[in-house]
Amino acid sequence: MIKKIILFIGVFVIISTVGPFLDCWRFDERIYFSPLEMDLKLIEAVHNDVGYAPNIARIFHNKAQLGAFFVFDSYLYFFDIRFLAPIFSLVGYVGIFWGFWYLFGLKNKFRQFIISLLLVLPFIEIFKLIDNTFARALIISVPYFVLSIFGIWQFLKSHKWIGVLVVLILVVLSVWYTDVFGSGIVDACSKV
Amino acid sequence: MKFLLLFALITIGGFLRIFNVDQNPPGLYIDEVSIGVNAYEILTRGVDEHGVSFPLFFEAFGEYKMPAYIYLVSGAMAVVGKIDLAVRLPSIIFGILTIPLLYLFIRKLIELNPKQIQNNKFQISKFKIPIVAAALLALSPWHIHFSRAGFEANVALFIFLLGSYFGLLFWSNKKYKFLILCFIFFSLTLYTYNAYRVISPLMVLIISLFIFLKFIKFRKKVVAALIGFALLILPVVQFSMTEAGATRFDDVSAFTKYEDRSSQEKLKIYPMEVMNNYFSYFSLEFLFSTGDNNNRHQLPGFGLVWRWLIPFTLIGFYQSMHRKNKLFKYSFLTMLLLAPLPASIVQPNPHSLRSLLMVLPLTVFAAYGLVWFFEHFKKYKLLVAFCLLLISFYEFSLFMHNYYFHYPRANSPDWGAGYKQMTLRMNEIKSGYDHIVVDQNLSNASSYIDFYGDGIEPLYVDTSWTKPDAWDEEDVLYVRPFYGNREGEYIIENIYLPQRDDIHAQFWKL
Repeated sequence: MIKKIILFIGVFVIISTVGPFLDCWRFDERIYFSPLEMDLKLIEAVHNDVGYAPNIARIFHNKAQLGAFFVFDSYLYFFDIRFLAPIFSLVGYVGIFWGFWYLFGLKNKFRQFIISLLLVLPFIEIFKLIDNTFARALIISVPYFVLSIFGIWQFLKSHKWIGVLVVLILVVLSVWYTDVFGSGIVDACSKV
Repeated sequence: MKFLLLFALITIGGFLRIFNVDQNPPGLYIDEVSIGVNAYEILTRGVDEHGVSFPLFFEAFGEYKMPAYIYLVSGAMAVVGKIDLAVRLPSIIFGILTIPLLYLFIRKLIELNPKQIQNNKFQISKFKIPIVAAALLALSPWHIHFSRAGFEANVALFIFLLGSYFGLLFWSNKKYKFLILCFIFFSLTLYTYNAYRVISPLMVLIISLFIFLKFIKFRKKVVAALIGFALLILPVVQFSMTEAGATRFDDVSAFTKYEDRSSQEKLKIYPMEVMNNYFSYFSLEFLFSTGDNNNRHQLPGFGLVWRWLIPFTLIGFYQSMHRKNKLFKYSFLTMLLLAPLPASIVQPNPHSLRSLLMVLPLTVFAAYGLVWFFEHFKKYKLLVAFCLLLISFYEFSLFMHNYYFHYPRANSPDWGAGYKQMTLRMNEIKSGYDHIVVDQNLSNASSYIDFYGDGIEPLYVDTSWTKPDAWDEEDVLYVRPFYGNREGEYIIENIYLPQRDDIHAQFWKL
């Protein structure tokens, strides 16, 4: 019972921290696929190959290569270890790590479902497949939210009083640090 | 066969680190020039540029450099002369030597606990992971770039690995001399690069703790070795506590921007700042995509590790953490976790030079992942290998093309290119002038003139300087940055950046 109460408090803290960000969440401009930017980079790269045979230049500098690298690099952004750190509270952020840890211990459809979501959803943001910013932010954050709660609950279940203590400490620190997160909302919103 | 393969890797790695090294990176960077000036003074007069005889710490640009690399460059200059290559030679040589050393280190680790690194499906020889790791290091963009310029961190990396190897030899043979050598080399890292002032003592403490717990009969000897280590690093520790020794930290501290905050705010902000900085070193973007965005530290548009290695690095990390070989697991995990520590309390972050130690565990995890993958999925082995070969070959070729052809031209402003050409030209024409005057806006020109100049002793002036009346009848060579005019009454020559149309400096005749 006490573990469920702790979990509930943790979820409350996570929601109260994540919630304000969803309204103003803007991803970094550099992760959005821009054909114009790709063309400009291609022109610059080809110009730097002055004196070389055009075929050689085209082997190394072409839209396929630049596009692939751009999408790949943007995709990596969503798997950065600090991704969502400014948005989720401390307990929520640690919960995500626990979520991944316990997820790989499962061998069921839940694991496959969550992993599939995490692998596919970033493309929605990279290619702006949905116009509404709030909707995109919500779609991206939900799997991590679920993962965080799952991770916290698994941690509480697999550890006795020490698990309760650790999560409680994280919750207290999260609330204490809310000042830092709160004052950084405006900056974080434009950076994340 | 094994040694032939290793030799081939060393040769390839050596070629990648030596080819055109005096032209790429384009020009000595200011820190390299400072090293070169001091090294030459040590070689010829036994003093540094400030006249201090055989110093332990070299004053440069208001801070202090560690001595090891400078003395190595002195030795290099004694052989090859006062040239750009001499400044880079120690880094090149130790960079190349790191390849076989990593092979030996991993091989010894596996030999110590061969069965514990295997499970039912994963049967390996003690050859595959070491040779794949050596290959990956030989071709590592991170390690190649820092082996090609005068970076002390690269030499410190070798010495650190050598110290670790001797630690391993002690673990294997139980001979005390290896432990002593281990601690000696760790102490030497503190005199080579600043970051190891944090890393090496922690590493020594961890090793000592392991030995203390595991080998009871060596407890007294470990304590004695620790005391020896403490004595060896005492000068550095004492120096670090002085105002002069703390200058570097004060200049780059990550906490400077919070000086005006209250104590309570600092209590909240400092840990978050350190954590944020620390985690930035595990950012996939930093490692595989853009590096630290400092064009002097990597090829723009490329990360520090090959992109195609991402899945194998993660697989290797996960698999090695689940193996029972604690020595293998903890050796590289310790290196990986320690490497970003000293860099986390300074700025900017992330920083690919300060965290260079990470290249070793990441290379090993990638090698482990590759070997594990091909041992585990034998069914599609050929197909996967073929696809991987294509992708890796393309990325490698793209890197080589950009690094050896684009980089020297596109990124010459990030290095000292231009200053060398400027000074060498001054050497050629100085005899035709009574005075040489240099605009101070050519920042650090004095260091380049000290290194490349042939008896040139210019007067350094600000932009408001005008030719004094007393020099009316005398010819003055006035060296200035490019302020926008390509031609003019007094301009006699433009000094261009190598392979570019950009003017670095102008010679005026007054």
